[in-house]
Amino acid sequence: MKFLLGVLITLGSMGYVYADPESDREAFVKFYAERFANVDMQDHKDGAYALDKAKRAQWLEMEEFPPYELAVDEGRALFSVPFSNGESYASCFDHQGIGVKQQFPKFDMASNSVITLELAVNQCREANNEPVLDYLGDEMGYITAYMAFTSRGEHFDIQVPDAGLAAYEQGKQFFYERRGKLDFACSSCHMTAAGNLLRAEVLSASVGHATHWPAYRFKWEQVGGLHKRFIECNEQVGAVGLAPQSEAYRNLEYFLTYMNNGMELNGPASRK
Amino acid sequence: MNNLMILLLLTSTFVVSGCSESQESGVAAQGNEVQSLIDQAIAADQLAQQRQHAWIITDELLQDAITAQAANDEVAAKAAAERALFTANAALAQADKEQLAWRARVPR
Repeated sequence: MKFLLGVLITLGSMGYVYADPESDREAFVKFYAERFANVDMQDHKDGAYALDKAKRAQWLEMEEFPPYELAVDEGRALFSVPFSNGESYASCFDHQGIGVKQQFPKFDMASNSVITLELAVNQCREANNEPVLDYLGDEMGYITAYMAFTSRGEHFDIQVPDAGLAAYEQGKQFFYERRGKLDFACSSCHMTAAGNLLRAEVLSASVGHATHWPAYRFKWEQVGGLHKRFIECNEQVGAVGLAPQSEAYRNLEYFLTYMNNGMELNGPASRK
Repeated sequence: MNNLMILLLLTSTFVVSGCSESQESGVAAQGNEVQSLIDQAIAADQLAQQRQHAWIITDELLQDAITAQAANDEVAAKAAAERALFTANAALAQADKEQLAWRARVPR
């Protein structure tokens, strides 16, 4: 009995005992509430533009003629085109695919894995005998931009069932693990150094990281998804990026989006 | 005198051919050493990739080593291969360390 108690105390002090996702989220939100006491939590959905007045002013001007507008129009058109079997994207999603982005990512019991919106789009195509889309390509960006646009104003309410806890924990580990030659974790930039400058760029808070995807990034010159940004982040610290929609990135998105529960969706967005 | 000249000539021929053989075997040994370093670096890098901890620079250094080896620049090839092995092992050490270290960064 004493041995068991000793083991439990040792594991607990080393942080081995899993915290439940909701306790994690509360601590996560509290961290940013204390760090940015003058910023409304919901404003973090605008990323770095919630933290820097001058950059926010520039960004708001860009938003008057948003560069993702054409992507939304393209996506609307593509979304409504029937597949060769007469079905359409609408047949694969709740509410005909309108205003559903806040449901993703979700844990799928049947496949025992995390399903992101992009993966669901390709699963829909496969189920209807259509070729899958390139996750980093324009067409996937257009369709998800349109779907995100129809979910504006909704709020994330991601669920982690018991079966999804392992995927959630793997995503959490990925977020806090240092990688690459520079030895940086996601949390190094977006928690520890959030609000600081990295050269001329303000580092955004992770509490708003999942709300606005896909995004038109000027350096990409296209609308791209969150996994494209994960790859870029990993490469920026000297780590080899993983494949888009790899299990590790889907789990990371699952964790990150759960941390964003309660935040308003405002995608697609524009970012430098 | 003539005999002495012949002896000197024969001796110098043996010495030169011996040196040449030893130089060739030295180059071959160095080539094997470089190939061994490249193989070790590739194996360590693949392991780091499986653990999702590979570093970009390892692949770049491996390419440098292979290119230099193909150009018979054994010195540059060895230097690049040694660095590739070092960074691949550093990535694995990072993966080992982070297996536990990440937990300390979770806010509570």
